[in-house]
Amino acid sequence: MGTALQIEDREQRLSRARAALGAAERSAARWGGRIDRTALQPSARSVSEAADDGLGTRLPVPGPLQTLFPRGSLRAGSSVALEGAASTSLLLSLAVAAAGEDSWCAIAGMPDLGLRSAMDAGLDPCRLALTAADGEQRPQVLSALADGVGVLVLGPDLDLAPALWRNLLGRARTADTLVLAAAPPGRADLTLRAAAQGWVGLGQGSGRLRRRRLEITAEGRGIAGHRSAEVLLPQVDGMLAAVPAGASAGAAARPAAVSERRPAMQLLPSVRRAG
Amino acid sequence: MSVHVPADLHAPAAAGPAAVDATTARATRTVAVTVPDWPLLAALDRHQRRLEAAAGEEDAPAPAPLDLAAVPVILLDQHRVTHAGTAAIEAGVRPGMTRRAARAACPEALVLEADREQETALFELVAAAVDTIAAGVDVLRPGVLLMSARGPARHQGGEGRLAERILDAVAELTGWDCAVGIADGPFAALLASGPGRIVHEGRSGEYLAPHPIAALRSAPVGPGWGHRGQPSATRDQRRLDLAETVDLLQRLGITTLGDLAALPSAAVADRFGPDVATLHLLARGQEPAPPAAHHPTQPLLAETTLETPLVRTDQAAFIARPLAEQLHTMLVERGLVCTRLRIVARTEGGEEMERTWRHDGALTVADVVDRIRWQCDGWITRARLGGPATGAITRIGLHPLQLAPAGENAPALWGSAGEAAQRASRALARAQGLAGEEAVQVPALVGGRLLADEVALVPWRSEKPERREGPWPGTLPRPVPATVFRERPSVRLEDAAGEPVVVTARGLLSSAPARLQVLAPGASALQRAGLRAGSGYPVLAHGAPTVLDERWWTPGGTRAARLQLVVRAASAEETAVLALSRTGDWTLEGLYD
Repeated sequence: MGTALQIEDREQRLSRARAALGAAERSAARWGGRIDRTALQPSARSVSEAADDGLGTRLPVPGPLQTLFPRGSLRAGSSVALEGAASTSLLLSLAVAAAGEDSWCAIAGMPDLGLRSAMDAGLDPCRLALTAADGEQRPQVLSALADGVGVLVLGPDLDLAPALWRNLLGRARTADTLVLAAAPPGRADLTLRAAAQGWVGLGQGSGRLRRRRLEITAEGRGIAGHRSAEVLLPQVDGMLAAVPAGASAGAAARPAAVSERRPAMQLLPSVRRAG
Repeated sequence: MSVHVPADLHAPAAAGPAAVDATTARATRTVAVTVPDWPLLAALDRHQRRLEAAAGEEDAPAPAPLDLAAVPVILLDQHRVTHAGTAAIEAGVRPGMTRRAARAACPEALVLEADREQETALFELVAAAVDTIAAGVDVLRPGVLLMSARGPARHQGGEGRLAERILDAVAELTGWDCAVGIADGPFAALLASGPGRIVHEGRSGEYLAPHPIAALRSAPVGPGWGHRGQPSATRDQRRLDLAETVDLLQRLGITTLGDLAALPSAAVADRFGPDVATLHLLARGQEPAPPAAHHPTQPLLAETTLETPLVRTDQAAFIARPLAEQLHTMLVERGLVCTRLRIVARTEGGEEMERTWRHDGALTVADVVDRIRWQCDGWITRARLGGPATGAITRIGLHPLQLAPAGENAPALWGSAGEAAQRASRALARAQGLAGEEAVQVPALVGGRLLADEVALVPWRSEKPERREGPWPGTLPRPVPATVFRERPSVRLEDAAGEPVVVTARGLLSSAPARLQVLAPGASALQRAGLRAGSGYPVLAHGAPTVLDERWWTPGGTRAARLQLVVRAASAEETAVLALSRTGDWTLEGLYD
């Protein structure tokens, strides 16, 4: 019993060490470092396979959303559809988590994307490509991207034909590309629906927008019925965060607080001047 | 079949004494044996065999062998014509045509499908025939054999004599015509085998110079003959596309191999990278130095004794994989890759058969498996066709002949660093090639007052604009809107009495906003957020305006003010927007969605 525990511990330590070295190598490659590879690595594949236990490569999701997904992660090559409020921020935070340290991300059909918010969410501008994907060559361009990048984000303005959507899903499945789509024309593996619960931070003539509470419901493959979670998106720093434990009690009362007028604030209009 | 020796075989291309200079000392004297239109011949052979089998069943007389000059024959690979017989070419069929076009040009043609496996297996017959004349034959790809000339030529008493013997042997033992070329270095030998020439020692460069640049397509480099007909087993590492390179060089005005050879090698390496530098070396009649060979203290060898002797071709596949994996593990443990592999088989009778395979880059397990299988297929086919009887194969061994440190061929140590970037850049380049440069854009931080100005989009792989240094007073604190309108939709902000709200000169709101009205339709993001044009939405909360005084020191300076608002949209959800006031008119700069 004791030895079995020890072996497991040793294996865990080995896999942790491999993961750390892998991260170091990736970041070295990102900054143009060259690594002298003098030996083949027989278990290079087995390292990644160790993480997937036969279900394909798994991609991480933002921590607070882990409860929504089967096994707490996304399968590479699967698709996620987003509906409802906050679809843009949710697309961005899912893309950031799935792209990780290494993968590239392509965003199609989001002409009005706020790029600063994308960077605030943690998207690396060096591994980001945007395409309008309009014009005659749209199917070919989208297919090329689905083959090449790690995360493909399809915006709501794309207005895809159902056939093209299915085609893209098939390509993405073979190329292990994660497809995140806002309001796609067909089925996706998972569907996330978000409902805004209200904003915090803005008063009557004072304050600023600080955070928004979202209720996200997930359903689809691997989920019996549906699962839901409450998160803050955006948090003050623009990222996605879990709802603090103490705050959930006042959740129901809070939207009313914004709605109710507070004329006292009107008397002290604060002026922020920028010259 | 009569043996046909090209008339000019003994007439050297370049007369005069051989001037051996220092630069050509590197190139080994090489014999290239090629069988022209090999895939077509192999397919024809298979067709013939099938007809004979059918005739044998019905006891009908065997059909006469086809004559390529009389009967048009077309070979298709993946629905494209790859080879056409003389008669078919006369009828207007060209390589590259689709099946339909070829059929239209020559309706009576015999259409055959390419089968790479069979081509390779059948080529073993030719290799075995050449083997009777000279040892150490390397199969470069089906249809092309390379070997060192020096020893065999001395043995046969001259290079001309050697070429003649090879032609005779191939014609006698297999019935096919082959072509032999002898020159310094493999490339010159390959090109010389077309007209059947023997190039004087040290004159390979001169011989190559007048050839058109398109001859590079047959250069013995780049994607070797990889697994299942894919360009190369190591295609991730080797991205040299010969057709593309030839096209590029032609567009640069380099029309002959001589033009390419005349370029300074350092400049070629700088401009085109190591792959084209190798081509440049070949075009000068030289040979890339063999990779730093590695001699392990204990010779590597993977061997297996077969309990049931190998008599059927499908058995070969079963034994090949464990053997190949064994070799692969041994190489991996030592950090080596194998670029030349010898496969040796011992038969029941105690005789040994061997064949050497060359590969540019590292042989993977799948490549080795394929080669073992092809070779066993070839031997078994040869025995069945009544060649020298081999008997059943009882033992198979793999001997790596040329080992090199894994170096660049090795995959990443701990993961897949850089692969994702390479894959993505290929995809983006393809997208740009399809839809124009503007189709793929990347963000570049440039800095600015408004959200839309802060980050610019530039085409991928174009120069990024310079970043303007701030400070940018009035920058929006985080979180920033996830949607920033490129064309700001006009809105109207009213107070409780229905009067328009304005920002005063002191930067204050004239009154508290109570309603937000979207004036013009257009922005689809707004509609999705439940803010439709023409209707008003109650403002639940608002911040204090932030004044943006742009260039107030110049006459063209403008003033604007930003205001964060929370409105109740049609969906009854709270929606936050960022409004911008300029000269009394409100627009929406962003939407927090």
